[in-house]
Amino acid sequence: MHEFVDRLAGSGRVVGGLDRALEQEFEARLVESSTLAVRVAYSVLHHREDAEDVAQEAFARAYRAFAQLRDRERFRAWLVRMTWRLAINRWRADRRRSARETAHAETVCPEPTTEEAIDRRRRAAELWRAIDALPEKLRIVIVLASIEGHDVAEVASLLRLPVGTVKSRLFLARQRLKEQLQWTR
Amino acid sequence: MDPLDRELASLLSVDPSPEFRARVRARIAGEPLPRPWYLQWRAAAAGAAAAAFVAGVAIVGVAPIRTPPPAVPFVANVRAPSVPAVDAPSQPSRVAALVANRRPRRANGPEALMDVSAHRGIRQLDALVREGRTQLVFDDEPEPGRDIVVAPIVVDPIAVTTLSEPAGDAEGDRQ
Repeated sequence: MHEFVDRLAGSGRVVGGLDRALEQEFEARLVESSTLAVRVAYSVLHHREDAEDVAQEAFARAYRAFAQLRDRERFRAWLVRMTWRLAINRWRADRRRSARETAHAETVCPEPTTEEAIDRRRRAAELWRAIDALPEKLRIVIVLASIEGHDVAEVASLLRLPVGTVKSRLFLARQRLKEQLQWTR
Repeated sequence: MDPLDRELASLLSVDPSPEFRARVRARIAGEPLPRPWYLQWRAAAAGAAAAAFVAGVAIVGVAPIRTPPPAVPFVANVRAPSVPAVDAPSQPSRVAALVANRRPRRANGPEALMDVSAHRGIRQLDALVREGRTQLVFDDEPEPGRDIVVAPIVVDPIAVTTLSEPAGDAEGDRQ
């Protein structure tokens, strides 16, 4: 009996050390995946502060489930899917989205003074419209492929999809975008 | 690089603000870090073992223990035996309980606690004596009143001495 109690007390020390190890691992995941989460949310919300709010919520949920997400690839895949889902939910629930887009465009892109700047702003707006018009399955693939230079295998790993499925969806997404964007031809 | 890919990469090249990580850290600061699954299983196993131990102790403590039949009150001067002569040997505790619960018809004499089997034997002996089928003979029992000699009690007279006069400075003298 005493031996059992001693072992339980010893496990308490192990748990304390494990807590520190988990904290350090989560900190490492936060540093290396914060940009990914913010960009995924930004691709949906087109608003930096909203994207950071959503990414923060995703990290908080990841922290609660971190005991099951210690593996790096598993963590990033889970984080991408959670961030995407939260961003989509927020985008659907946000009724003031149009006003924010306008405010954001005015903030990020100050009053253009040159013809080139005006053209750049117009193309960005067209691209956003074309991306938003894509089905979700195609949109997440093209967004992830454009973030941090992910290749097809990495996108497949993040989405837990077969490589062939990602390839075909990526091809369809590019085709539709090019159809809508005359300046890419 | 395809112009479309270039435009997409440029469009999505938004970095988190410098305070983003600090806000995430502040957000999760108050939340306890969940334990890994194997630690949860360890705690659950320890709890299950403790519960099993307690249940085992409870079951062993409640289980019937073979004990000698309980002592029952025996009335020495019961006239007729009312207990069946033969009891089921396979259920001693039940028979003992029946005997114990039976109230004696007359409880005029002193009661003695004794074993059920001894109780039964004495009753059978009593029945035999009453039917005249046997006779009790006590060889070395002394007859009361003949062998016991009580010596007369002599009480010495009690001598009473007078009390001496109290001293002059004793407390309460002036009164």
